[in-house]
Amino acid sequence: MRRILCEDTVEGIFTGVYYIYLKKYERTCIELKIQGNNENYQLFTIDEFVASDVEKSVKVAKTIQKKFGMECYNSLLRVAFSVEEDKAEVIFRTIEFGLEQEKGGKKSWNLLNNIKNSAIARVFEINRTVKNEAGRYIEFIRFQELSNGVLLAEIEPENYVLPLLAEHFADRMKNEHFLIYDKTKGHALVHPSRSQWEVYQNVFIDKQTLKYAEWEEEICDLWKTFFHAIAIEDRSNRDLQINLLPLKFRKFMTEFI
Amino acid sequence: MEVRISDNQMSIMEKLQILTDAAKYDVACTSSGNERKNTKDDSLGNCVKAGICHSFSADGRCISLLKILFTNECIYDCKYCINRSSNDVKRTSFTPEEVCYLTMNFYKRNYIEGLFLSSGILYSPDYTMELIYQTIYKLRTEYHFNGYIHVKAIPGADSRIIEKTGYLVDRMSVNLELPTAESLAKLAPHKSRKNILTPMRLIQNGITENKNELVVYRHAPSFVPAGQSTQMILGASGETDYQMLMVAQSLYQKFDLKRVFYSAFVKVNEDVSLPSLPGGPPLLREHRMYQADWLMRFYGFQAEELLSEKQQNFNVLMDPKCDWALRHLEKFPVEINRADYYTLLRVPGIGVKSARRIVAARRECNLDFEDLKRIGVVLKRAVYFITCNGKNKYSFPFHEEYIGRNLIDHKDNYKFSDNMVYRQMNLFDYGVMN
Repeated sequence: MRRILCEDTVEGIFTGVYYIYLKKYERTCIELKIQGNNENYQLFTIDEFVASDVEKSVKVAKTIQKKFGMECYNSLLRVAFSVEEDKAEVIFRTIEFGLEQEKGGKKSWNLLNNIKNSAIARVFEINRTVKNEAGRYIEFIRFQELSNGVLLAEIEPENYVLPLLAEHFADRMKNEHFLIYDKTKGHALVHPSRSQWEVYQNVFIDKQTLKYAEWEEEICDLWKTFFHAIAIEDRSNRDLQINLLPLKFRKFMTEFI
Repeated sequence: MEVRISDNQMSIMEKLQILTDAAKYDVACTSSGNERKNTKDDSLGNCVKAGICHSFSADGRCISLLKILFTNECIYDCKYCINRSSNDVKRTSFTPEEVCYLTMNFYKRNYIEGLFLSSGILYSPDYTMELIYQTIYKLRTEYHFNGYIHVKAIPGADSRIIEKTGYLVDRMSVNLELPTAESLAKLAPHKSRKNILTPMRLIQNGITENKNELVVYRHAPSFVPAGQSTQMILGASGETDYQMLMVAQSLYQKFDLKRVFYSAFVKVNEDVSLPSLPGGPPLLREHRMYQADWLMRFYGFQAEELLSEKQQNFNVLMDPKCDWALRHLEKFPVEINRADYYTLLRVPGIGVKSARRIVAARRECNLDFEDLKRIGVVLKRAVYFITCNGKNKYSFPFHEEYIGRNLIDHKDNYKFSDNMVYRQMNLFDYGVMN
């Protein structure tokens, strides 16, 4: 048994896949794994670490796009953004399955429709969770205006959703400076007005030290007023509210603070 | 045009409180139907086809748009409405600037998806519609707001004002209020059926013309691109579900409406002509109406299939689709690997998404129950109506009462058992003979 350990990034996973094919390892007794902090050694298992290589990962990405289409590629990206332990293995097995099928002369209309395959079923499942979480944050994220005009939002997602939020907000708020701070990962999505967004790593923002715009509090209060006035008491239904807006999202939402 | 605003010097906070409270009984709060990118550098906002809900209020309804009235002053005296002229409530009006200020600041903070502006009738329909137009015009041109806007077309307003407003907004709606002309005459004496349907027709024609125009000139300004909607109050007058559903269906067919909304009647005024609702607003009835509405719009059902002269109201215990399936057991079971898309859609527990996935997935492989679960089919309901490769998941008696009993939630089971028919079991029930 051989374990290929890679870094927890899209490049890392794709480089790992490239490496397995490059070395022509027997693919039945191999596992692609994200390298954890305290990795346990296993009996009869050889560990190999692969450093990320942008050039190699781009090759893999191009192959996926060309052979399986953009939709499939985007789904695999979302899987790579998840926190699931088996994600690297699942991505590798999906690519393997697709390539084998093609070698056998059978071209899938859409690779991800082969839900009988356990790796693809897993891709389907993980993709759905990540997509849902990103969707929820697009809905529930709340910005606050700082005294220098920057809009700041704080989130605590399970998966790595920042890149999935970026396009949506960059288009919507083209003319604004905004920053979304991912507290779990310590990343920050920074979008300066009218230019390209970027994700910065190892960021720490202490909310106590921030200075807000002077009208920020009034607008928060206006929103709270609206939020409470819009509810109809005769129809009050807290259970439904909790179903649709789970408590974990409320931590950073203006109307619940 | 000069904008007259109430003399009282109220703060924007008080106004927001009053005018939100006055607008909350309106139901349509969706931001769907239009996809629009933000193309200009200095503008704010875009639209997403599916719509986005930004919060959920204590009653579990979604908050997508800033839903406010421009003013709650009204010359009409509709019996069911909290803003009717005979009610003694605090009256106030926003200024266009205030509406723009709120919309821009809320939108920037991702509180809302856009603005839903409605209004009481101040002086005359024309005057009110012009006020709404002025506000939207300011928001679009001075504040460069590119997000979603939904406004009410005021019945009786001049067609030219309605038309120019239509070019600035995403969605327009005219409230039908009540399903029949008689109940309208009884409960909303100042409104007439004709007055309501005229602007509805006007908008419909505008949309059709605009679509033809867009074919020729790609950059022609779009007219009400997210379509028009309407709303009916449920339970304020004596109509049955069947009547409501037939009205909704003809609205979809004859007026090309995008949505018909139903609002369970909430009693805010005491009036002899209004029904008393000891059990609160008819929420379950409203829920069933929406379920049936979806079946008509996305599942290819006709109103006549769901309800009929004989069965005028929905089954309280079961959703309309299960109810229909139970009455048509001769059409089941359906073979998952062979049935066409529209047949799959009619199976309880299979929705639009899962039906599409089934059709796509079976191109690659033969599906079994385990795969269906992964796809997202609700097997709890679907098992009774489907086969995979010719086999049921369990063997069970294929009888209306057995399936019906199992489809109903357990906590409701005892209610059903009253009129249960008991019957001697036989060997077929246990699958011994299969």
